[in-house]
Amino acid sequence: MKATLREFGGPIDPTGQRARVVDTDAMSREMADEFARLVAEARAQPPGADATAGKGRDMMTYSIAIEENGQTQLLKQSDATRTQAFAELQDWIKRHAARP
Amino acid sequence: MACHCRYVNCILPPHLLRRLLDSSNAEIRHAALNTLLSTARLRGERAMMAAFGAAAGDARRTIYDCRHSTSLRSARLIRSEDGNASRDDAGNRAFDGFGATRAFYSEVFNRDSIDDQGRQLDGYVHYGRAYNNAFWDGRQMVFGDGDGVLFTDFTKSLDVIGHELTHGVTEFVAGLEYHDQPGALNESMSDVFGSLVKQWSLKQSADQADWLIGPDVFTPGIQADALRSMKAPGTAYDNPDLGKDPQPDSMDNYAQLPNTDEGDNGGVHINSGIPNKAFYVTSREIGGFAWEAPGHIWYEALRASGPNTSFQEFADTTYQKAGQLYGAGSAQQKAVFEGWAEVKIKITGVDTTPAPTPAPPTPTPAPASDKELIALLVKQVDDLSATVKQLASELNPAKSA
Repeated sequence: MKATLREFGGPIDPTGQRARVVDTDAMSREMADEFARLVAEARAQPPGADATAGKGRDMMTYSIAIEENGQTQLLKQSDATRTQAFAELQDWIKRHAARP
Repeated sequence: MACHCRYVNCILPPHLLRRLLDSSNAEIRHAALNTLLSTARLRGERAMMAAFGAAAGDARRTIYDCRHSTSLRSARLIRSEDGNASRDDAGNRAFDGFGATRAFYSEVFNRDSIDDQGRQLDGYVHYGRAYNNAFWDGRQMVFGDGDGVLFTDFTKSLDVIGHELTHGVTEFVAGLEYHDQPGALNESMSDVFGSLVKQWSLKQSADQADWLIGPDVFTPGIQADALRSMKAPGTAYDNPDLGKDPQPDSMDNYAQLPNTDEGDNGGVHINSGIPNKAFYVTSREIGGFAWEAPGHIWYEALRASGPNTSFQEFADTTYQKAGQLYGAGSAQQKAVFEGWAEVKIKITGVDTTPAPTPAPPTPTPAPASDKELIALLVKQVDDLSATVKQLASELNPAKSA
């Protein structure tokens, strides 16, 4: 399983050119299991409701593309809708991905 | 001297009022003095309101600690308007930054908080974990701590705080939609007035200012000047960790991006470099304090703008406002022309740089403009007096409480 994280709208790189990638093929069994658990939890929690009514400014949007068994699922959330599970998966990818 | 303001709804800014004190027309001198005294009395009443515990919503500051959650609902109060300083430095910095921004809009533009009706200012610090950003969510400002590798605490840059709160001002004043050119103007307004908050707080002239946005948010080891440079868009950073600053410095390099998240909503954070530079050049050409003539021209132009204002329309409006405030062919209007010309935006209907008009040492007032000017000053004094009276009546119950 491979995951590609992009972040948009932030103070640096607003168009998300600098992706962060993790691949279970390059992980220990332990790490791969932890990663799979975080992905499952993020998938299980749908994005929250956006309470900003489109008035948020400088808020960031995040996409995590999960490639598994030849298929790609895109998880997309923002500062206005981000769940705790998505945030934890995002943080994990940033900690373990190679620097872009 | 004569004020050439012909826009009867404009408010004469303090620096113009002070110049009017030297007018050869006694009636103008008297009216200008009355206006300044009324403004000072209004500030005094507001200060007394703060001292006695102002009514709720009177731009009161409240700071909350998110404790590294991304939920604002679970945040804990750590500093209130009338409370003691917090043990949390980030909370205190946010509180002080809100105060500086509030004071800037009040003193410079006579604006009572972001909505001009004393809207309270709420801030949330320690948002998320290693969150490399700060934002305005439509109602309050949220600060991240940074990851400690690239970024430090986002409360450390006063211009960033001014930037985010100005998004609130823009929403109430013009409602510039957050995509494509209106969105880039929205971002630029926040950089312009965010920078002016900093310059005003430090009493820096245009040539003393750094014209950088967020110079204090990077960790010491990162080779970067700032998040953005208004003076030289595209040069704020260029290193392997951050990449290169993508901002263009003229319409020649305008970034055509889709109105999507991936396209930064049409490049709102990217193309803002163009109007940013126009403001910097205007300020450089006028000289002195940038929050005076340039700031007032831009503020009046923002007030005359709407949700879909484009770069061209805004440029034309700044040129028009400069003429209204300082006179057609004035040094200020020429500076606005040059500011936009430098970013390759030609003012509509103006073929060349306005002909040089030497500034007279003692301008001679024309009788017709004096009459309008006196009427404007009388109205301004009446408006200020009404506001003072209202504040005084609100203050009395607070005094006896």
